Amino acid sequence: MSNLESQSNIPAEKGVWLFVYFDLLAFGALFGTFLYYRSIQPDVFLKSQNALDVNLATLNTLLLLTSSLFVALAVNRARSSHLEELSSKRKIERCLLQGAFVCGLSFCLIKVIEYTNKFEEGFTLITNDFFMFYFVLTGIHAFHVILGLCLLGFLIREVSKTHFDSNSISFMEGSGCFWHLVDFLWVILFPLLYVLN
Amino acid sequence: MIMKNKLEKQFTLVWLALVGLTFVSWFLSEGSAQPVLFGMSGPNLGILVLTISIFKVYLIISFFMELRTAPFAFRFNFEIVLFVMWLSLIWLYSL
Repeated sequence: MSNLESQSNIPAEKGVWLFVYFDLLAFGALFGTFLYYRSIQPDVFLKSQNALDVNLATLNTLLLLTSSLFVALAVNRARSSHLEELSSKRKIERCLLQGAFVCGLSFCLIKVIEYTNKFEEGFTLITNDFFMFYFVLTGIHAFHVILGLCLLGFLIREVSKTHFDSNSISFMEGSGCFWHLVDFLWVILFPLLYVLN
Repeated sequence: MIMKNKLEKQFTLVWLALVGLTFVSWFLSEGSAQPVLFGMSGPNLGILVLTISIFKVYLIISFFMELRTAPFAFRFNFEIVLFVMWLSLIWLYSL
């Protein structure tokens, strides 16, 4: 798909968008449930929230936003190189995707550090409703991150190939959409779990 | 080539806006003792934080995911979900 075509079309397959749409609805329901329980036990939720590290969460947000930028730039570049440099190795795209992968991996490492700290401090799934939501919501999100990292890893291999056609671009756009989904879900999780006072 | 550079510039500006809004949210967190912004404090800041996060999602969907180039009906489906989510989250937060 060229840049000009992309001005009037939907990037990626419609099935990917359908998945994004229903995932957004499902997470929306979870976010709503979290806020409902928060309204029932405001003191428990506020006290528990203070035990979380907002600085680590902010760093994680910045990492995911940066990785999203890298993916968006890589998809945009790949469309151009697909048309202009058919047989060349897409070095810039590969570097951008590797950057996105490193950011995603760093997010996971920080999450592991955060989980370890919480377990050491004695907070688990059964501590209270806040921590039940904290571990379930961030756990489901972390599963999305790992899935996204697998897709990014596959993409890095794909852009290194000489044969890179419109199907490859479409796959790249789909994987990119999934990675942006991972990013924007965290963008809502971040204020819900760490910021709202 | 011009289009490519224009889009890259746009993506970078959006990223800068997202980073800036993230720092605003961080500033408004409980970690910053008794934050006050534009005379707002307490629950109003919570509503502002939720609004910022939904706006950030809108920016990601519109620019990074390129939904702004999609047909109106397709785009509208996502925008209405975001709008309803924004209203619901604010309502539930205000309970």
